[in-house]
Amino acid sequence: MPSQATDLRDFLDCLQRTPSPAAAFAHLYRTVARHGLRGAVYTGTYTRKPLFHDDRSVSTWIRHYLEQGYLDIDPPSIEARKTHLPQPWIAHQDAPHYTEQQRRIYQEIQEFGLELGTDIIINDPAGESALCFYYGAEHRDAHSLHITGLTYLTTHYTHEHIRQLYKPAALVAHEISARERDCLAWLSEGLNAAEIAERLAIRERTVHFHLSNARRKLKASSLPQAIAKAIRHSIL
Amino acid sequence: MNTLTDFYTSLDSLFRSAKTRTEAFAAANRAAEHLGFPHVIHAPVRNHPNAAQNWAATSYPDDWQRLYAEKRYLERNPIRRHTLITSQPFRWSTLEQNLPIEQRELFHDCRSTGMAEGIVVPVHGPWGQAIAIGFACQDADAADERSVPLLQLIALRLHHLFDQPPPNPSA
Repeated sequence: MPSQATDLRDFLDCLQRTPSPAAAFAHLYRTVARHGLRGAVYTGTYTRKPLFHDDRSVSTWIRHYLEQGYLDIDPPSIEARKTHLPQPWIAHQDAPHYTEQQRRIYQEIQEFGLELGTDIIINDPAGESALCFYYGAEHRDAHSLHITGLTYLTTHYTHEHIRQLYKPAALVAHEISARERDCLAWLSEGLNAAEIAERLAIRERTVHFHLSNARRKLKASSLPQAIAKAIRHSIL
Repeated sequence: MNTLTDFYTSLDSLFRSAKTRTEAFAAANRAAEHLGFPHVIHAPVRNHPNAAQNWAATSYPDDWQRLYAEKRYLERNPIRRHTLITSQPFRWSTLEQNLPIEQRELFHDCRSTGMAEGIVVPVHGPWGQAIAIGFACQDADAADERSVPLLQLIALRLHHLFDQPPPNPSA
C-alpha cells in the first residue's frame, strides 16, 4: 500500500487537532512544503480573509495578487471553478483571447519565478466553494505529480475541517439546534414531515415543532425562506 | 508502486488512453479491482443530467441491478441521501448502523447479491451538483481504510471524464 497513504493518515490525525482555520491551513502548508512548494493560498467562505503561507520571498507579490483581485480574472482560477480537477498554471499560459490585465498577471508571475503553480477548487455539500492555489515548485514534474496526488486530498480534507470548525459558529450565532438543522436539511431535499420523522426516528409532530422553531429563529416568514437563509448562513 | 503519486501517475496513463465514457469507466473498474473492489457505480444524485436515473454507469451485479429497479430504491436510497450532506467517503456498514431497521433493506440486498461491503466517495461540484461514486467488494476485509484515498483519486478522475461532453464524432 502506498507509503504516502501513511503520510495522509498522519496528516489527518494532526488536522483533527487543529483548533482554527489558520492552524489547519498552516498544517496543510507544512505538509505540501515538504514537496518543495514555496507557497499556498486558501480563500473561501469560511475564513474572513484569504489565508496564505510562503517562504517570504514572494509575500509581497501574493498580497498584491489578492489586493488587485487577480483571483477573479486569473485564467486557471476561472477554469478551476468549472471543474473538479486541479488546474496547473502552465496549461493556461498566454492565449490570444487573454486581456491585457490577464497577460500582466503572467508577466508578474514570471518575474517572481512562480510559473509552476496549480489551482484546486473545492465544492462542499453546503454549496460553498473554496479555491486553494500552490506555487513555486522546484521543477515541473515534482510539482504536477505531487499536486495532483497527495495535495489534492490534503486540500479537500483541510477544507472540510475548516467547514466543520465554522459550522458550530453558524449554528450558535442563530441558536439553531442540531435537530432543527437536520429537519431543515431534509426538508431542503424535498422530504415531507412524515418522511423526515421516519428518517430521524422521531414523531411527525416533533418535526413540525423543530421546523417552526428554526423558521422563527431565522426570522423567516416561510419555510422556503428559512431554507434559503440557512443555506446563505452556511447552516445547511 | 510506493506512493500516492505513483498511483496517480498509473491512473493517469490508464485514463489517458480512454476515449469514451465506456472506456473511462472500464479504466476506473480496472484500477478499483486492483485494490480489491471489482464493482463500481457512478450515480449522479443532484444537478446532473443523469440524476433522475438509477446510475450513469455501473458494474454492480446484474441481480442487484434488477432488484434496485424492481424495488424502486432510487426514491429511498439512503446512500444517495447521505451523499447530499457529506463530502467525506463513507462505508456502507457505518451508514447502515445509523439507520432505522426498516431502511436497511438495500444493504441486505447488496449482501445477497455478492457485495459484502462498499465505500462511497461523494463528489460535490459547482451549483450544488452531487454524485455518489461507489466501490463494492465481495470480501468485507478488503475494504481497508488505506484504500480510501486511492478510491478518492479514482473517483476524481472518473467523474471528471463523465463530466466532459461526449467527443464530436465528426471532429
